[in-house]
Amino acid sequence: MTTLAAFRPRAPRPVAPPPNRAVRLEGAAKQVIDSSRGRPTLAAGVFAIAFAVVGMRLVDLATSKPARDAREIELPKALESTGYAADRADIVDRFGALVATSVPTASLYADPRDVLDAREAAIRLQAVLPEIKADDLEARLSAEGKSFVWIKRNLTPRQQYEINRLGIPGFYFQREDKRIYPHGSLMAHVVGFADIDGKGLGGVEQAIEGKIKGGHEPVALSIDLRLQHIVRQELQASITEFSAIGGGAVIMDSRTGEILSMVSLPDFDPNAPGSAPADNRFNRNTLGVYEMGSTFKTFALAMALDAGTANMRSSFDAREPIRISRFAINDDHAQKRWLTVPEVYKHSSNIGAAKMALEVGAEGQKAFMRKLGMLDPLQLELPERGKPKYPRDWRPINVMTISFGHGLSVTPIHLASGVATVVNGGVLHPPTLLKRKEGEPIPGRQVLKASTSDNMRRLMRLVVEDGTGKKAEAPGYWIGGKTGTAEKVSRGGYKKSARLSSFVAAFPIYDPRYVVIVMVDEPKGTKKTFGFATGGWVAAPVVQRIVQRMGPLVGLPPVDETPEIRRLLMVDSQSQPKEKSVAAR
Amino acid sequence: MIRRSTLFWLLAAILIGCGLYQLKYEVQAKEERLARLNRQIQLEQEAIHVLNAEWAFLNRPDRIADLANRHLELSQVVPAQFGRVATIPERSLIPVVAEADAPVAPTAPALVKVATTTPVKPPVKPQPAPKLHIAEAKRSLGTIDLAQVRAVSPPKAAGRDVVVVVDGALLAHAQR
Repeated sequence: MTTLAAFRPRAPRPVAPPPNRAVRLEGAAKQVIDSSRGRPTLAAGVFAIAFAVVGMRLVDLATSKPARDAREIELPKALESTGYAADRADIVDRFGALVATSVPTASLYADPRDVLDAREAAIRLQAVLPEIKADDLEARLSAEGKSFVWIKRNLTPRQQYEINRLGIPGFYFQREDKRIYPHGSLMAHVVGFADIDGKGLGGVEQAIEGKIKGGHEPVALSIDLRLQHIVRQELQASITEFSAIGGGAVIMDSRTGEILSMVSLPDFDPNAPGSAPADNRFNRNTLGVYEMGSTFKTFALAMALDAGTANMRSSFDAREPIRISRFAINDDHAQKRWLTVPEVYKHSSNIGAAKMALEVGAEGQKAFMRKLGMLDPLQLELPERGKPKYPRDWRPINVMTISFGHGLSVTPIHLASGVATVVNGGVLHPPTLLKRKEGEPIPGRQVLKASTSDNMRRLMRLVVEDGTGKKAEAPGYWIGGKTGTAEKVSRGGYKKSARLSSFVAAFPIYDPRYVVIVMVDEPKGTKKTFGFATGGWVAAPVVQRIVQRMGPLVGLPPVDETPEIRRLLMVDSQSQPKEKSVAAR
Repeated sequence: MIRRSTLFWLLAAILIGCGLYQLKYEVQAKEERLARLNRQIQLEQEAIHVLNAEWAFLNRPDRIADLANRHLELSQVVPAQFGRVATIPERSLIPVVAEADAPVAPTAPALVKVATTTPVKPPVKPQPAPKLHIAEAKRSLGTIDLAQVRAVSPPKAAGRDVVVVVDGALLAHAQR
């Protein structure tokens, strides 16, 4: 530039230096300026890096999956619950009808420190809640050092509204669940009840507390409410008719062991368990153990047939009572002749049953009863479970009495389960009050030969067709069964007047689906029954009425006899009882 | 140039800021609405729960039985009332023979109709008609329109049952 400038006309020198002309400095000043130029560059670099990091993090947040940070970010969500979450799960029947539920209510409590005038508050509150004593309440509200006093639990909405309207300071509401049983006493002994704090105190409510408390899925029982209603009505009618002190009835599905109905009378209202006498809470079907009487001959015969000591053509000498030490075993419907096995059952011969049992022996009988569960405490989803009573020394006299249902006490559920096993082909399904889930295998074990069960079905049909159980006959429903009339034990002996009349039945007996057991406690004969109060007169008609009403409901309308049914139920009645030396001893 | 870009960024910042504010308030409103709805759902669920209990209470079998007894003219089903479809007889074309004191046989029009629709075929030779008791059926079934009666069974020898087949294959079973 300096060289070219020499040949050019000299331009007038500007007053101010050209704007782009750098100021050149030397020495210490240059250093200062240089370093002050470098600082902003450094700062800009740092900021650029920081922004880059933030930017990268933003990209990362925007693109990465939220799993890692989901916990940190709480977004309001739509309600996921599908229903009211009560403190106890609902209990429903096998078809989903509500049996027990918890509904929200308000409970009234007071904080005495906040109550301004205890006297006035008590008097005003009494106007709304008449059952509360004003003096009493005043004393409780004036108690020193208390900060919480329950006034009344589970108010009705109306009471809550009125108390709210009083506007007394120091009184508050607490939301609480109240357990209610819409069907009242219908299901009393099955569901039991829960106390005011939501704790199960009986029945299923107590037995499966762990499943109900805090659970949200309804618990399905095996019970069918419709059958429960029918059974209760018919049993009550019979108890009234025969002035009995009580009764029990059970319907069991013989193929699954599910209890479809279980009624014990008298009963109570689980909504107010305290309002009925405590005795009414006694569950005859599961806690009560009874000597069942002749219905046990079912097991004596099944035992002998299964052991092979007798077959359908065997016969037994029933001409004379059996005398053993100071006892005599007699027949109620004495035929005074030799009886074939079907006749022993049909005429309910104690002598015949005793002799059949003796041939099997004490060990065999005990083993058989144990196999059928008759010696084990009841296993069921209830806290009220009875323990069978049986002799410690199983002597011949016990063998004989147990064969016709005396000397061994079991619960009616034991009996139902045993009869179901006898008729269903010999498979013992543990009884249950909870609905079996579809598709799940049904627990059970083969304890009898299928042929034994086949023969027993024929014999049970015979009793209803032409034996002591004729009053249970319902044409087309094919009921088979056995009557039982047990004298009740009292003061070391048996009472003729206090009886337990029962009937066990299965239907349709050619291919059983249901076992029905009816038991009436201390029935008194009426004019209509000519003074009789036996199982055949009292309990058999109840079974007949129950079956006739339940048949159509469970999809079993009456059917006419077919050759197939006749073949399945035929008993060789032509065979005459033959005397044989072994039975005549 | 610098001024223009500054203006642009400033404007963008203001717009985004406003948009963000708008969005925030919208979200807040939505959250409030969600909370309100959730609360409402909870209340409804509670109400449903209580109503379910009431429904179960109103469906007590003894109450239903009582209501049925009072308001329905139905009674307990008895085994004799069950039948199979296979056992229902075909609609009878047997003419109803009136007794001397009975009105004119009411099935005549139906028979005529059958005859006219199939004129080629000779009319089915009527089987020997059982003695049917229109008058009796009329007495026991006063309310049934006799013009619709297609066949009447003879009264059973022992019982006094009269079975009347009315149009539409309805089986009426009268007992005197």
